[in-house]
Amino acid sequence: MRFWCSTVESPWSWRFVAYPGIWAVMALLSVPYVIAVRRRGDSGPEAKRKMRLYLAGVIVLWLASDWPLGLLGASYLASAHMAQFMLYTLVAAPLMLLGVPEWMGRRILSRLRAYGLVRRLSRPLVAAVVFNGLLLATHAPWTVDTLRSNQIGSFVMDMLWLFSGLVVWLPVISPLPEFRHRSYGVKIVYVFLALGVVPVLPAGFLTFADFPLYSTYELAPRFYGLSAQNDQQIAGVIMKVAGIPVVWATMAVMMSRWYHQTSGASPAPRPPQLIS
Amino acid sequence: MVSRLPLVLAVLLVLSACGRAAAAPEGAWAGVELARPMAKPHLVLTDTDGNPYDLVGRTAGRTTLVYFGYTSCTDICPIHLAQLAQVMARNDMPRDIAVVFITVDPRRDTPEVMRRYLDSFDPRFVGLTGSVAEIDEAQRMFGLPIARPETDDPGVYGHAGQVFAFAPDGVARTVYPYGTRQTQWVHDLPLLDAIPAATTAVPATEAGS
Repeated sequence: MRFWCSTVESPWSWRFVAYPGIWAVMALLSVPYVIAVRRRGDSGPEAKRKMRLYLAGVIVLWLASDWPLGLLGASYLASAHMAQFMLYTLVAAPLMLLGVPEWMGRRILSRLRAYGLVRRLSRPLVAAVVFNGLLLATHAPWTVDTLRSNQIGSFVMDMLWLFSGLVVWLPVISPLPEFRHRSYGVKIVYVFLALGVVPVLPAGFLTFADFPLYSTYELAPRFYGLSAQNDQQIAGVIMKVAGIPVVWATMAVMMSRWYHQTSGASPAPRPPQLIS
Repeated sequence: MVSRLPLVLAVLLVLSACGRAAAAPEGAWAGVELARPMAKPHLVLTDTDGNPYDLVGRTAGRTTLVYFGYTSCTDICPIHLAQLAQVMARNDMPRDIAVVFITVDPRRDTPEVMRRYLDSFDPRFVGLTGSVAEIDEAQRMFGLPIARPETDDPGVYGHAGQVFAFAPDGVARTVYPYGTRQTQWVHDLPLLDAIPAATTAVPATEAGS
């Protein structure tokens, strides 16, 4: 029985493989949340909306971690590995942050005595450096080949991705208002640079590298004949373009808010308050 | 002028040594160096057209990569062959390298099956088969343990996983085990191919000895 997806030597098969460790982590992320909200007696529409966002984030996290994508990314395809990273950092992490109520965020940071640390991490420059530093570190060939080869390493890598995803979104959508940067201009530039520009550099390396960079994927049994080189190029393209809709949609929403704030006009009716 | 003659000779000697080192750079291979270089074995098997294939005669003067495997193999064989196909498709690789795949499962690997299998990697790959006795003998000539079906799964063969690389002089100085990366192949193949066919500088042991 394996608890987390890591490199295996057998050829790819669509036969289901259970990873109870992944289910346990997903339960740990979601059950205490639901219990805490129920105990507080929060049943208003805002609490329900936040719970839906949070649980959607956990579901995306689960889909990105578990079979089949988790196993493909840990053992067979660099492109699947990249898709996991994008889902973790650009979808699951922001959804989870949006779903955490302010009172819960304060309680968690108080219990963990991490308020000061998270406050520092939420500064745009710090968050950008942490996110992109972890992005580069966790996509370096040595790191991928070493961590993906065993379950604990693979688990550590996935948790680092989740952590970096939470950190990079803090200045924009932190549950605690004082952690969000006040200036829309700064937030727009931050999102553009931290999430839109810097990741293009490693993506270029992947796309235009002369050889497969990761031995994990180069020496893996081929997935429907896809060569290691083409797989790596697809990974580079995913890294380059998959973030575009998220980054530009976020920037568009913030520009709209900024415009309404400066013009004094009330913003157009919007369903959920995704970005404050 | 006369006084400079020794210097000129010394420079020429160094340059010739450099040239030789580039052709056979001892200790500079990315593959695994054999303790004793091995001469290409004299074996004749059957190719995928059903014709006799004399390994030494048909690959004389060419860099030749020989690998024992079987078409139903799900791990090592397809990875080795896919790696070689990728490397040989590069523009900076020598054009005339022979890749010879010898089946260890001649009962199932008919010439047709092998041709179809090898074509999925590179149509230039040569497939060889023979009787069980011939295949066993071929493995002995390469100094390999005889591949046998596993007891719990008769469809799976335990077999040697290294590729033997013979330079154009017919001598193998290196082998390439499972796990060899494309960068290693790309490093070594031009060096192997640069060794002249007539060179006999490296004393080669007879295969299997």
